[in-house]
Amino acid sequence: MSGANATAGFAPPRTLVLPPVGLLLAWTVIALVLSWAVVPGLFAWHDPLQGVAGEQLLPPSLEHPLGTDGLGRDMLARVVYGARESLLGALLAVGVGLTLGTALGLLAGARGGIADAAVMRLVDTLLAIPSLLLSLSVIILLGFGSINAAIAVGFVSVAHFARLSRAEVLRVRRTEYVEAAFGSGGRFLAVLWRHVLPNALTSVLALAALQFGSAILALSTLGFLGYGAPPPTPEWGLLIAEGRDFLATAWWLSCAPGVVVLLVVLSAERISRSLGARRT
Amino acid sequence: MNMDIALRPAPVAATTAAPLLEVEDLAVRYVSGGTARRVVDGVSFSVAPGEVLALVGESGSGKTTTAQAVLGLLPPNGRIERGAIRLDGTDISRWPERRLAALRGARISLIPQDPTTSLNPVRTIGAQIAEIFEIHGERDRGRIRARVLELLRRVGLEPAEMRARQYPHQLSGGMRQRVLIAIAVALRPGLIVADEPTSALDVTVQRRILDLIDELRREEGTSVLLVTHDLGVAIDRADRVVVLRNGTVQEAGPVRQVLAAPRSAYARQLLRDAPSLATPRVRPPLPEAASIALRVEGLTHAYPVTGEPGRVFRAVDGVGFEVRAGTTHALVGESGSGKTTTARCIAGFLRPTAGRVLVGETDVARLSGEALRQFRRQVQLVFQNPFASLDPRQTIAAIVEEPLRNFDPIPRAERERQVRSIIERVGLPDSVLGRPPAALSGGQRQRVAIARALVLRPRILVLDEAVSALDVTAQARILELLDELQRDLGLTYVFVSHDLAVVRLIADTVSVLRNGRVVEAGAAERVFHAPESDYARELIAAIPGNTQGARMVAA
Repeated sequence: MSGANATAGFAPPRTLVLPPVGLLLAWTVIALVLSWAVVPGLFAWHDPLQGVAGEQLLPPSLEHPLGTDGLGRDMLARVVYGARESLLGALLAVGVGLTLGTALGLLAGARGGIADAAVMRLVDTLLAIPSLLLSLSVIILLGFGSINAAIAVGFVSVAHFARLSRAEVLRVRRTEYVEAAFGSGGRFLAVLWRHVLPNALTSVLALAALQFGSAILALSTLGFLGYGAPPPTPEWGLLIAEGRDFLATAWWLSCAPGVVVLLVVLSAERISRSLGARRT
Repeated sequence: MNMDIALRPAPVAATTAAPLLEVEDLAVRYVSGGTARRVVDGVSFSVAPGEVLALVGESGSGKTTTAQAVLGLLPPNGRIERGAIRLDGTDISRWPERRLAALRGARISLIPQDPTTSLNPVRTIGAQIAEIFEIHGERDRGRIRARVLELLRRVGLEPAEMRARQYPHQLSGGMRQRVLIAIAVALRPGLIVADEPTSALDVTVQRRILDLIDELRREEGTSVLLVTHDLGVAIDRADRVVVLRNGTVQEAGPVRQVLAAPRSAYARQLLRDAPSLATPRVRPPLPEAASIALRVEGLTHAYPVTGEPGRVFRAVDGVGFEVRAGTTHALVGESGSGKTTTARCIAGFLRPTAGRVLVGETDVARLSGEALRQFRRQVQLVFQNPFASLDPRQTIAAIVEEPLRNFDPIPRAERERQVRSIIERVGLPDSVLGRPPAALSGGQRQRVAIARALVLRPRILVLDEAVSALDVTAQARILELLDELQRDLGLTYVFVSHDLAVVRLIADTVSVLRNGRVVEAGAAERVFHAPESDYARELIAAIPGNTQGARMVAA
């Protein structure tokens, strides 16, 4: 009877797997914003810094899709050119947080004992201070400017990265393959590099994507408060702040950059979730 | 399919009674990632009232899927393609979930595989047994409570009042399995599906649990569909067996017939591979002249008991033995006997509280740092679970190469040559080198783990339950490989196992451990045929297939 059905073919599967539309949209948003940062000239045809006299506070039109601001500068151009400033800042912030945080977490998780206790109490302290207050304090110590703002934002996320990577390192350290690696004569650092770090990194990278969104938000907040890039620079937070004065008459000046920030943060969150889900 | 009639003097007249369960031409398909795979293909069998039918096969044979289909508990991506599942003559294979739910527990019930994960950790035992009555409409609290206590006594969990108030973590694995059995028999179902009910348990516990199922079956006249990979268990407990492979029936018939005259090549192979049925190969006599490769003296490992300062728990308590070069010494015992702790002390993973572990002139217990690292070239440990001991992110080549990179620098080409030769030595094809462990079967992974251990050319290999996670077929092949490697390379093995049947196949000498102490030691054959301690006798008696079935054939 075993051969009776050997020739029967498989019917095609009934359910078609739908592509994750939300995820595709998220990647599209990120790709678009990235290309704004790389080749802004393709997306905007006005100068983001030079205003045109007599064209102040124009409502959206074909010539100025997002209108113009109080100095007659094209809003679309300012949003598009602002992408570079905001994305570079966010990348730097995430880079600082990822490197410092993972290093601290790895040290705490792998060494244990006093190193662990010291690092984790430091992390607790960082987490206890409201993040905006902490980044403002760092900026005041370092001085104003977009790079310093990015470092400040990154510094705040160090605690999150450290916590997560420590937990992951602890999980991986307990696995049998790490024990087996020590058993086959591996030195501490070699095992850490070959086994612990690669296996702990997946969820840390998912957090990095999430932090990318938060960093843009935090940078915009700092820009809005005037701690970030100095005024003529088109930076999303600063754009929102500048538009605030005209909210009653020209609401699009604040809304346009606000919506862009919102979309980028949401997309980063969605991508982060998909990266997290792929963890085995 | 040819329906055989039980030859064993069955208490129930299987000849006349209409079958309770009839599975006819069942085919089940799994869809994953857009591809469909048929895992059960044209399986037919029937179970008469009061009969025990065993579904036997290795992992991936479709035995568990068949059982799940009977219960209507296929995973969401599984579908019954064709065929009928008739319970008392009614086809239930197309029934909606709600009708099946009313059936489950009442007329068909399940004893699940893993007692450690099948109970809710935050509810008491009593509440979890009571739940089955509540689900099926009993509202009288007093009556439920009385039934729960009666069931607990019935499955041997006494004092019942105390057990009912306890939580799952307070019970051992065997006791938890008893709770699951109580839940399964609560509503006196006609059919119990037991899916590998004892695979996660020690042999002695396994025997008691199977005895319990047997006893309940006899008293109530319940039928049992027993799913197992162990032909020994099937022979002990079943009236008839159905042997599955790749989703098709290879052989079906009364136990005695399959055992005495298997018709399919696959059934014959399973019979050869089952450790409890296999005839031990004649091991060469112990070379008296051989030097002592490993000597363990007064090994003790104690942990402080948490919550009770000053008290210590001795996991290993004064264990001593010696192993001659080129021979295999087995450490046998149940979980908690200290066998794994001993093995880890020998391999240098744990520092014993007291005692000496001498490999040649070196005392392993005193090594640390760089000296311990260098010592690892001489003694290697093979872990129990090949699914956990290989880094999922490395390729097989990288895994096997890694030990070489930890010691004297060897040129890349030479490392690659050594990796290739050891992979070939453990019987794996070259093509596995570039693959990740996830692409390999359990048996293949354990071969990789053995290759990694051997690539440094150690003198002693400590095997910690190295075949326990594998099914009988893969297990038999690994044991053959170990045997061959020992002869060719002159290796010394310390073989840790809870399974005396496996030990008998590979060991020259044995230490039987209980509660951290050696209760019996000696040559394997002597311990097997003339055990001196009660505990060793109990362990031997618990080996499945060692009872009626095997004797029947021998007679």
